[in-house]
Amino acid sequence: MSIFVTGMGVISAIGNNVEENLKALLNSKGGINPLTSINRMRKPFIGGQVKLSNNYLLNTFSISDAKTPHRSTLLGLKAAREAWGNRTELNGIRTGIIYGTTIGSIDIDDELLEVLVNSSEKEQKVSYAKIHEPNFGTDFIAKHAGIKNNRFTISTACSTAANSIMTGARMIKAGKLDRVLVGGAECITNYTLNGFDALMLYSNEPCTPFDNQRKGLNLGEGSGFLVLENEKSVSACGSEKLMRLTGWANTCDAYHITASSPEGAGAKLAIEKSLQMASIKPEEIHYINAHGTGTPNNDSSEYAAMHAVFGDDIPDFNSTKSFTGHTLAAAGSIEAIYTILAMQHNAVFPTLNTKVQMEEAKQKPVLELKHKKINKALSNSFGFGGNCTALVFEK
Amino acid sequence: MSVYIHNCSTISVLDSFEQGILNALDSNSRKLIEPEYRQFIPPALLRRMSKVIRLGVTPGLKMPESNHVKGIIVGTGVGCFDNSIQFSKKYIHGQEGLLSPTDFIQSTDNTIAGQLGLILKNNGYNITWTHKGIAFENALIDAMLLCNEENCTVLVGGVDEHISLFELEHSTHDKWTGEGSSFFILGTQRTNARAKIEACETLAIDNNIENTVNLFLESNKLNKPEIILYGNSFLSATEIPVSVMGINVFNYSAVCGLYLTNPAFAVHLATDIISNQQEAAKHNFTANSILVVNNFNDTDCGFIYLSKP
Repeated sequence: MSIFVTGMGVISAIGNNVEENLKALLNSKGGINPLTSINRMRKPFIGGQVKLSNNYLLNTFSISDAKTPHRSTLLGLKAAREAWGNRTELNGIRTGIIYGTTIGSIDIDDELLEVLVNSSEKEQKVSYAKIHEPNFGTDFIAKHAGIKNNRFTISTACSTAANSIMTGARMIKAGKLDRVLVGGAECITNYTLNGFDALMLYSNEPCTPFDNQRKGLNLGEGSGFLVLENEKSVSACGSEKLMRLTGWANTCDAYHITASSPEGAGAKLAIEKSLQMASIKPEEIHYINAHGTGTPNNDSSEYAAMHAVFGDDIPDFNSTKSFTGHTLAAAGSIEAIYTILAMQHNAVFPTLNTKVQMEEAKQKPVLELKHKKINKALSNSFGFGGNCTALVFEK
Repeated sequence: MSVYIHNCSTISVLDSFEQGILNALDSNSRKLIEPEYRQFIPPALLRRMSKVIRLGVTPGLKMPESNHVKGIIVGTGVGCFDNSIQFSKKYIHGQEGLLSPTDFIQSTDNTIAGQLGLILKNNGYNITWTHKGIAFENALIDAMLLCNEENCTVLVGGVDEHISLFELEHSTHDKWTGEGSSFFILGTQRTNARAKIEACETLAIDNNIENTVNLFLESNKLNKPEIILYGNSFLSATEIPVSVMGINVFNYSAVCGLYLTNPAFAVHLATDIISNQQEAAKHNFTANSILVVNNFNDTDCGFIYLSKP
């Protein structure tokens, strides 16, 4: 059974929709800049901010719900609406949504958090109820898309959205759903800035994935959503087939709670299993959208995993986090969309800022825009907790 | 797409970790009874683990079958929220110098599933579901899918800790905040199974619960169950009825307390009832088919249907 990608929506530091993102990717226009309008930052940080304000988004969508959604939910809604388009409920087409965000799936809002930490017990209870809504984004977006049942919320740190996509595909394959809206969203918060800074993984220069002198990651914000459908739903809805999702795998590195194993055991297994599922040989892959966070640990581990699967001839790979920053829970879906765009436009986008080949590596990521036919591509996503997910797309 | 339950393990306010839920049902405690964690968790790891992580990993580690599963799936509604608060306090209160990352590391919900993978050295499927009061049902649906895809066994469970901020303002005899952790070994083999899960689904409540129960039974082609275990995983304004469609209701959340993944507790209880009819009879629980109904928030409902294997 084929699973088709029939809709895409994205918002990130390099654009507010698919078209703008594509343009920036083709023109090597990155979005990493000093962060502004985040109150009470402990120190200056750089990162990939979305240009639209919360107020602008609220007004655009004429949102007047009793509870104001957090920024990540608003970014999610923006991307979800672009992907979902004007689809409506259809008799006989079982529809669902799978969505995720990080930080214990709490849509942490700095302002609320501050109230919570500084307030009295009673006030805290009120704030708590407002903050702790892991399912809020899912239900909010579902309501706007008219999706009543089959609502799922996932949280696997930085591989969250890749797992949303994978689970959506699995549910279609198992015959539980015909059509599913899948994705993730994330906004930049003091919480995550301070967290990665405390881990000494934050770089205050634009990240340089797979560079020998890489210093760490930059956070980014945004959202990516895809619509997946089976043949039945495609014909019933008259959807356009953009790409096929043919392979996926989720594995656990089981090495360390935050660090990846030096040999990339979990990542290697995920890549191998996803290729196996798609019944394609490693040499058939034309392009890899790597996880490539720009941290010393991730990039060497991921390179080792790719090398173990593909040998000395790793297909052209890049890290689009050099454009957007690391968008955590949204990274998997934003990058799946970039992978599809690369395939549609037969272009491997550059990895910005990277210069020096890693000592242990035999090749660099693609550093300049490269046009070539891409029929089959791989997208990698890894996260805390040893979560590794790989997705295979085919024309 | 059914699966079989081969083993279960629960830490709760009852002495369930040692003797299962049914045997411990008569005790009337509201305080979590925690096991000696160091019997299950390596000491170096245990020292750094927050409460919810200890609570979450231990039931799985107790079951020997966990060493051979192909996947680890966790549902958690509050997850590691308490660690998030601890980490936020550090920077909001303006702590100078370097922040300690420990609370940040432990604040992502998937820490529990990740730690299980780490301790069990399991490279297989590993996922965490967090749809608040139906997070366990999300996890169970995924686990049933995985068992059938790979014809394998899977470790799946639901865990939530008590957070003081989450305490109800007015507790009653049947509505009070609890905490707990229940994990299961699911598989596709009937041999030695303790119970069978026929179906699991979450539905938006359609007019009323009775109507929604009917929808669930019809769409899954299931007969009326003999007993309904009915509870709330969160705040519901409605009372739990004495019977639904003429079927007797047992209020499980009155026993284990309200916490977001407490339907997992009910699934363990249902398994005990189905697999230990003699003991079940003492509690007037004789049944070969049981429906677990979780009214999360008067909007969404979870349904899990169990039967004799």
